[in-house]
Amino acid sequence: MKDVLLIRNGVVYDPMNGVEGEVMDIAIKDGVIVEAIDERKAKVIDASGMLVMPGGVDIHSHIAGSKSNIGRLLRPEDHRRSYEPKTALTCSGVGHSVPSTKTTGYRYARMGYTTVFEAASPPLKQKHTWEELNDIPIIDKAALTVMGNNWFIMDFISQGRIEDAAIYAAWLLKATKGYGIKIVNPGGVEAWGWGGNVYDLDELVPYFSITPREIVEGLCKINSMLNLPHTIHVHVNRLGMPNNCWTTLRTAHTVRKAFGGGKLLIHITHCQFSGYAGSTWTTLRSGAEYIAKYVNSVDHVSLDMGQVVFTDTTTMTGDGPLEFRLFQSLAGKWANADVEVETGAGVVPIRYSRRSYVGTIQWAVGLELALLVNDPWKIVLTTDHPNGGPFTAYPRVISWLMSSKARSKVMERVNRRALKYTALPSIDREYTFTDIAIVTRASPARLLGLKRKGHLGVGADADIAIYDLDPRKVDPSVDYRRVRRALRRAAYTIKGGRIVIVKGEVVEDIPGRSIWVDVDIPEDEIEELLREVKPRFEEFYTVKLRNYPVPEDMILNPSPIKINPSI
Amino acid sequence: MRITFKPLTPFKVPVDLSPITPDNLEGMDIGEVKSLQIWVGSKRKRIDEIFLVELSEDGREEIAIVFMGDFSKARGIGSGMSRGSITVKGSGGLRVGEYMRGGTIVVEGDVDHWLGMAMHGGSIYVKGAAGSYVGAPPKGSSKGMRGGSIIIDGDAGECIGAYMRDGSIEVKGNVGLFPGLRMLGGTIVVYGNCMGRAAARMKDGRVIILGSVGSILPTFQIEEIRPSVRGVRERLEGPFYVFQGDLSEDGRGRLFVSKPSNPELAFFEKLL
Amino acid sequence: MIIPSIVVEEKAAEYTMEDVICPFCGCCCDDIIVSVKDGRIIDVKNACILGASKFLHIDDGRLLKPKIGRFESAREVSLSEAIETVVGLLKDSCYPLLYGWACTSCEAILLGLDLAEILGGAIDNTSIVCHGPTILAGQDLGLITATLGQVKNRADLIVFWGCNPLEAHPRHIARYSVSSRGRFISGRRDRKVVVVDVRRTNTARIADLFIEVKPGYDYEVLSALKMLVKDLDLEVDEVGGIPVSKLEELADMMVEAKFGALFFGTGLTMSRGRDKNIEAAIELVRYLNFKTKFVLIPMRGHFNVTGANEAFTWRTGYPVSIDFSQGYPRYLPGETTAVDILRRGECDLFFVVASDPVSHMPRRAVEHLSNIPVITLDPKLTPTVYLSDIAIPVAYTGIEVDGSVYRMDTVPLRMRKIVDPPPGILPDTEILRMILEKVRGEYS
Repeated sequence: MKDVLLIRNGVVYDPMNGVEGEVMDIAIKDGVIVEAIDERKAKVIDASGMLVMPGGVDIHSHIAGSKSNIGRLLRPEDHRRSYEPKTALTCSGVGHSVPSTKTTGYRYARMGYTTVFEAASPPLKQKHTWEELNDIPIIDKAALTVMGNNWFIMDFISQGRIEDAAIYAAWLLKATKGYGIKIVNPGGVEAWGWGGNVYDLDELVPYFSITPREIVEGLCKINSMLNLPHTIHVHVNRLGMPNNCWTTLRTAHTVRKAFGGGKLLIHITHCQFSGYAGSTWTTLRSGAEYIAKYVNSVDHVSLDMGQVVFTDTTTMTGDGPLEFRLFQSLAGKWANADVEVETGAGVVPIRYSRRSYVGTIQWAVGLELALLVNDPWKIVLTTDHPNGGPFTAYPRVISWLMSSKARSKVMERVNRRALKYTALPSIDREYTFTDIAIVTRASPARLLGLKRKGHLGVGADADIAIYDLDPRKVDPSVDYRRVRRALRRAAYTIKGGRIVIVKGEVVEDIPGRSIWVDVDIPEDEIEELLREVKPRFEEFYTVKLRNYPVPEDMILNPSPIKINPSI
Repeated sequence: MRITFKPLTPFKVPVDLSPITPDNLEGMDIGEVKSLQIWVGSKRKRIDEIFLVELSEDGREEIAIVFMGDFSKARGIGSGMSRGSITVKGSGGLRVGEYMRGGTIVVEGDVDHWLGMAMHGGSIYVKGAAGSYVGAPPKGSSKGMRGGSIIIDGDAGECIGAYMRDGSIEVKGNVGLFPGLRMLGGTIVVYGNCMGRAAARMKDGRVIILGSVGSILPTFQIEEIRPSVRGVRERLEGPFYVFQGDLSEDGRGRLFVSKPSNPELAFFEKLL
Repeated sequence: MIIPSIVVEEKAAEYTMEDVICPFCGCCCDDIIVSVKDGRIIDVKNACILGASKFLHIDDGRLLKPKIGRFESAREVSLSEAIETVVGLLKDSCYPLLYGWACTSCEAILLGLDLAEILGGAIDNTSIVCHGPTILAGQDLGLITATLGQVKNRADLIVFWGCNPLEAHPRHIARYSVSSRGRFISGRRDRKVVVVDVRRTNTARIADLFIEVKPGYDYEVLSALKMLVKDLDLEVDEVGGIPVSKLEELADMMVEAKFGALFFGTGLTMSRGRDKNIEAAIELVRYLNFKTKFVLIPMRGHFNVTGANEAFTWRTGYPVSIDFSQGYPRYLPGETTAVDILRRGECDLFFVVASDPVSHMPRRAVEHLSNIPVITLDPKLTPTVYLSDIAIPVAYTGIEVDGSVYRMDTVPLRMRKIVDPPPGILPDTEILRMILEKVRGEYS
């Protein structure tokens, strides 16, 4: 009885299938959306007058792994302000900006999100990432594996051995149960291994015969060779520095020059942090217009916002030197954790203040990106949790996108001088419910190549969010507070066909699925490459090759996607 | 009005008394007070399951709460209170006077750690000894005590006044290491001895040690000798060595150390 | 097979396992070769004497059967009777304290956290008597650290402060630090090694520079070094028994290094100042990062105490000393720390897994154990087991059962089962699961 469900009369937004506010039924059987079911046998949810969307998909969020845990360790004071007591069905937890594992899962589900991607995981520590992901309830999860400062990748690319680099990358994804190729400050984090950084796409990485441009292009090529479902996912050089929008554009453009247009090639993540013009902090300007103009004219780039919210939060990233710079200006807590051969990590608490000139520019840039890029299919809503703000702020961000009035209200209290250097005050555009369904569901699912997520067509996973909000009666432009309230606590969240949330409360605590990409490369090819690599591997690393991979039996509810490469 | 709480049996597990404050009890009748629930270990118990509660009129409007007995296993006596008074006739336990904003707390016995944690105002007087982290913010926070006065007749532990911003702490007995750690303001007076490392990483504020100071950190430098120094309420007779620091944090705080009690510091005089 | 299966499926009578991870200290060396014959470990290669002795002596001094009764009144019981008794006692407790968790897997630790939460008790791990101060400093300031491979590949200056790896972490010297080789460093001669300690330890003998610090003055010395690194003048001639000229020499070495690594142990964490000593070390390393590249790495003692901190943190937000009594994780050192709870005699039950607190805790804390029921899960006959009212034998993690562990530099590893435990002895994860199931049944 439980496995047959009917959602009746909801106002459905399913942009991937062209449904924009149609009243219709959705039938579910055995965890999947089906054409029709025997209504007599079904549990029925009366969704009359309610907004129905696919479950939310978060393309980039730091929820699990070594640096998330460093973040939790660093912020006992942040935990005290927000905690969730144990209930008969749920475990307790804490955390405003860096919630503990159980709390993370419940809070996402409460908002109607059902799939979340851990943004950056270092391969050497990916067992840690998976142990934490295993502990996060309800949502489906995956992890992006960082490769942009990996010694073996950089060596292979600089030696012109692109095919071997591709095999190595494929093996890395298999070994770490990763979903895609993540690049963080390519070359810069390797330089940080010596306390340095790189500042230009064509700067040589110290002691390596490679530039950031070559790393990005190399991994982009590898991504295509492997036919990975997502493009390279890039945190560009010079993130968080004035005038970095040009680096963003040059990075985006370099892959187009190398590989041509016509298909998606690169995802620029948390673009807000890379969207600044103006040469110093005191003369900082928004660079969003430049980026938006470019993105509007090409077809190979996607981006996620990285929206800033005015709150106390925690920055955490693989970009070690960036966090050191933040520490230098904020002089508070700072944690750093380099990972040999591969990458780094840094964590610094931060408070984004309305009155701050820089904070206001940052806040505006994220919104401008989403509002100035015409095609919502190129955009995903994120806050780069927790860097720009906790993911629980998504309903607030949604209300800013949907209501010019909501934005104006905020703009009344921000730094007025800063506003002059952004385009935001002159933007009238307001996102529709369809647009929101795209940037929080359909677009990320499509960009990630998740065929059964982000839509409500037959065959899709039955991950559905139902909100107590009638889109036909509520004008989100005016009633944005109502929209925010409704989106904070779903009337129902359905995950894999099971009702997990009712009126914002957890009614069933089930484990989600763990998704990764299994690139089908002949085992003997991998073994041959690893045989060659093994001596250097064990010379550089402090673990043996055999102890490096994440064993499959460690993963809860494994759900790998088999991919056929083109090499 | 005076309300007295006497434990029916000695406490065996932690007891959270933070709901029992003059603020919270205001306007309640004795029946309501008795039916309040508090945490005893992992269980919720009614006040009258654990205490004998007596109300007496003393002609005054403000609420005076009296805890009679051994409360060394209690937590949070006087938590967040802003008026009235609490007297503990016995030991007070942990986090006595945490987040206090006003009113008075008197403890006739000892208290454990975290006395006056993150205090904003009011006054606390402990006749016995105190533990460590007097007036300090909860672990991980840097928002220390910012008002109010704490007086301890006995000894106190380590890190008293850590991260302090304002207010005053006076200890008649001895203190452990690191009084005034990372201080930003306020005044600490130790009438007895300090184990060492006074005012470590202080950025501003005043630490006055009348007994022996243990040793002076290399991050402080001698500024002058003063015949007396302003204490909390009175002038304290010296003479005092006045050190400035903590220089490793660009600190402009002052550490006053009694000259007669610290003869081994005489060599600093030639640096003047 | 290069793409490995971790669990050895078929065990012949005689076999050898390679790349075994040693379950002794925080080094978690993963190149051990273990030979097994007829279900017994007969040979161990590559391990240091500490690790080898663990592998080769797992049969010695073992608790073989569950027992009920303290000291001489102990009697052997069946596992089910032991578990029933344990569950009965847990159910009746109002504020139980669950302690230990260092010498077992993260899987077991998570079950312990489940149990503490359901019981509304307190739970703490052994870092409070070891590197707890490091963690406390990490909460207030943040640790500036790296995985050990950064040291192996890049570090041209290594400082050992208050630790003696030659004796406590023997293979650290060759595998990770002093004579390790990597991409940019070809070995010992590319490095300078400094030892700072209260006496000339064995590790000092292999150092280029040994600095003797007066016991209890590390904080002063670290503060002075911070001043020197910040180019500030010191008024005094000597700090902590060390002439300032020597400190200037050390400060110069640190600033001129291309990559410096500071390793530290209980010499800093458990001497006068404790967590503030580590804060001073972090402050020094922070300022060194303004001039060069520098990290600090704690020399963790047990093979999974780091994992206990990690698991505690991801599940509750805090690395040690959690109190679940009010329905959610609360943490405050001095209040929720196991030693303080015992000192105040506040817990009404003590549940120990993978640790021997009777041997390691202050006496006043241990005294309270005479008043309350004590339950222990351990492979060995320890003083804590003798004192326990109920003790249940368990398998050795990393030798008789698989498990997830974290090395001293937080690198996660997966330990594999090598031999079967003695008949009737289960992994602690199994025992904990059985207890949890029954406790959950009682509570629902």
